Amino acid sequence: MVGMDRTLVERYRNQWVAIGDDGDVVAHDLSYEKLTAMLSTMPPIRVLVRRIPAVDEPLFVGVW
Amino acid sequence: MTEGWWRYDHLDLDEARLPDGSPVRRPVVTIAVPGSAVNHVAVVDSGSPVSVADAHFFALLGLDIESDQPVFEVSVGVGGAYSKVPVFEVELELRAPLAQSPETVTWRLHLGARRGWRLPFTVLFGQRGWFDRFPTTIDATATTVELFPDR
Repeated sequence: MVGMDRTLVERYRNQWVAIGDDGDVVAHDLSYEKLTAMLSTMPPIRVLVRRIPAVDEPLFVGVW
Repeated sequence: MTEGWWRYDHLDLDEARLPDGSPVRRPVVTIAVPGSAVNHVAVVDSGSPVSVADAHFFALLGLDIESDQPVFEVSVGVGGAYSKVPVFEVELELRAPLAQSPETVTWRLHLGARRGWRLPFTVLFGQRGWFDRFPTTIDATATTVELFPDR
């Protein structure tokens, strides 16, 4: 699992990001839907999509 | 056919740190829509009876959750909010950790489409959809997934 450049975390809080193999953010958006649509228009490079939570967001503890 | 096991180190998803300053590290695996270059983070949760994902993820799978017929619906609570989610049969691809191998494992599962998703990952794998397909060991630092031919 590719890691994100730690210096970028605060800049992308509360956003969905697509992280390249070098740890850099190649695309980002507040909306997962918009980010994945953006990626579909780009050349197919390997990325990892995830969301950077807001700094005060509560911890998720499961589904029931 | 991919066999053996893959070991995924737990991942810090940049959530708020615990009061003692330690980071929260989640048990994760990497998945994708089959054939896609876009990988997604999935958290593995043995306490969850079902598997669910961000409702928008289903568009990438070619499903319209408003008009396509779900296999069934189930009421779940995720992150403190309850809702009824439609469950679809989908096909996903498991990717090797750290892209160590170009090999992949494809499997079919029932996956619930959760609207209003705000979690820092795309999919939550539970007993149905994950543990009934992949024998999985989770310890303090890593998730080890046994790979067998589809069963």
